Amino acid sequence: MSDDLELAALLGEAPAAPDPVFRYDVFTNMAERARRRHARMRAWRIVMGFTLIGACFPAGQWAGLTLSNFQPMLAVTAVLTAAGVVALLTIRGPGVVLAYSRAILSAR
Amino acid sequence: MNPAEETRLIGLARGGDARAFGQLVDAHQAAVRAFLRRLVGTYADADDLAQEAFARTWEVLHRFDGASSLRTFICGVAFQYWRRARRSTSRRQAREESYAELADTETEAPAHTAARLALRRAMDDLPEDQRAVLALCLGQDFTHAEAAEILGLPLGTVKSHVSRGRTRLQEAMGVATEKAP
Repeated sequence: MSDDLELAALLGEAPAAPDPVFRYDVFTNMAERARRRHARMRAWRIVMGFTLIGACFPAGQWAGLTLSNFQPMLAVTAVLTAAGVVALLTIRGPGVVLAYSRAILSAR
Repeated sequence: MNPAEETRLIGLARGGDARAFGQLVDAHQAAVRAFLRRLVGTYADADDLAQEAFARTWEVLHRFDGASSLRTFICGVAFQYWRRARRSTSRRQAREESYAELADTETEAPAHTAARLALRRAMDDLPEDQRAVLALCLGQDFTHAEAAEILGLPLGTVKSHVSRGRTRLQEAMGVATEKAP
């Protein structure tokens, strides 16, 4: 019983042959890790994007611009966005617009 | 697997070839799983850690410089995962519960079960590094030099851990220990 190999066998044995189920589990694990990594990156991009948009307003105020200065630009942006949404609705249908919005906002 | 073939597969895996990485998993899973099974005690937990280690290896394969063997590199990753898992209290509790149930789940003869439990208790009492050294070297899967590289320990420390750890395990088994020459 003092033999090292016997001690090792009692502590835990190696699998006799390469186990395909284990390999499959490794691939599942790899895919899950990649999915989580992409989700983190996506969430990070969304947070940074909205933070930058939000930061524009205090930066503008700091530069001496008031909401009335912004109004023409905001109006143009709103009109262009509405036109884009209407164009997408007309050309590709409502499902695409919803899917697109969901893709932008979701951080799966 | 010969070194040239392994180098070729590593190159392919670095380029994103999952099939090549699968072959590397097949080639090294026995050594990595045996190491973790001896370290952790419960096969299911050990295999979970082994999967994590292989998945992490896939992500950091570009850091492998070929100075050591890939098996050594993967075991180094596995050892880090084990240390992290060990520090988590909840994981430790789960392991202890599994350990307590071991006697009920084993299908082998009671004599072997008792020996296994005595060894496991002795292993659990050992310091982390000593435990890992024994898990690597007892089964003669790894040389002392490889164990030193995996664990980041001096070679002399590894040798002394093997010698002292073996004595502790033999004492736990009720075997008279051999005197060093």
